[in-house]
Amino acid sequence: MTTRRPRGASARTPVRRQEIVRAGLAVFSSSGFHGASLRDIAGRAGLSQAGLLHHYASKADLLKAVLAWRDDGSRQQLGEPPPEGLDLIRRLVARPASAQILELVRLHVIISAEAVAAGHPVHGYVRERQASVLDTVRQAFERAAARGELRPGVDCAASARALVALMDGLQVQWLLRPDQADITGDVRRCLQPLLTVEL
Amino acid sequence: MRAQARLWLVTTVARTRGEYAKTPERRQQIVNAAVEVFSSAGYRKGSLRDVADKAGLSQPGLLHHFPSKERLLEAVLTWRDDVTAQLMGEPLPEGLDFLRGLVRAAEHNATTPELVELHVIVSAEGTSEDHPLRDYFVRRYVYLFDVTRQAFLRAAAEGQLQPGVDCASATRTLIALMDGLQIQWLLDRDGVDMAGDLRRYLQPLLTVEL
Repeated sequence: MTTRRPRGASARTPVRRQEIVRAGLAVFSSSGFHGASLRDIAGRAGLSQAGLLHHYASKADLLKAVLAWRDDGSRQQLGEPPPEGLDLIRRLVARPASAQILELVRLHVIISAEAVAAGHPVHGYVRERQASVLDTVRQAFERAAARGELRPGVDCAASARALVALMDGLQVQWLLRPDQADITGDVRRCLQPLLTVEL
Repeated sequence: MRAQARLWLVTTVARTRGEYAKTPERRQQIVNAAVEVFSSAGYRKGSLRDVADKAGLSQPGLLHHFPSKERLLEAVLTWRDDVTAQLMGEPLPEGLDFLRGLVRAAEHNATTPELVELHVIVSAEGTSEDHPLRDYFVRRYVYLFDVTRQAFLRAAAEGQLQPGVDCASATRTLIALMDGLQIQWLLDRDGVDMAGDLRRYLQPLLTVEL
């Protein structure tokens, strides 16, 4: 399959597209998909709306590109190949602080909530991503269990659901009341009793 | 504690120029109509006109009671909070019974997916700094935290918590689990048992049966 370049695509295109994705992140993370205006995003990227549409055919396409960029970043952060078992869980829990983290958390919170509605343009993506994240985390727990790092009787699928739900919910709290939150501490207190080793 | 159950309602209802006191039935009719419209069409597609039609009012008549869609949404969410509070028991239970009530509320939520969806979507939008309902959600959170932490502290004082349980952390964790599981459940209703997962978290913290 060949990728058709939009008319007038030039060497500048990847840079331009990256600028648009950054602008999209800023606007989608504060307004969600429905509240975001392409005009705002274009303005932030220093483009006209027509100029933006030249790179991304629609607001939905741009949101998909922002989420794909986010997912690439997450994969890079986990490392290649990604860690397994308890190491994967440790890596998920110790989220690196970065200048972008606030925007990324906001994006995740608002898009995953908006997209529970069946008609949302990334409803399918969010469903699939949830299934895949839960699967990965469940496998990590199973691997840990096989190594004797889990207490007997721990339900790996339920633990995966709980860990993912906990991290999602704590991020919402962090956005609403940052001074009251202790994401890493709360997750540790929840996970450690399931383990036979130090988290 | 009866006062506290009311507080859930009173602190979260935005009163508009004295209309509320005069016309509670009318407002409730509008809220009921809004629940139906937002539940079937989604709250973005459901228009104020649809709500007015269903409630047998003109649009200006509706705007007289609720000056904007956001205020109407807030009234719908507040009504849902009130139903939940009643479900948990009147007067609102304390200590371990309050925690049991939260699990029951999660069980009840599994029968009202449209309202859970409405809450999930609007509360995420409400985390934005400039959202008109941000205040409502922050107040609701503060209240929910406070009353849940009191419940853990009370359970601890009665010897129903395992030694060493950090009540503030358990509060944040329980509320985070409720929020996070709601999203998972909306995306996979057969695969997620919200109340079951909450019990799985709570039971090991307790010295007694949940």
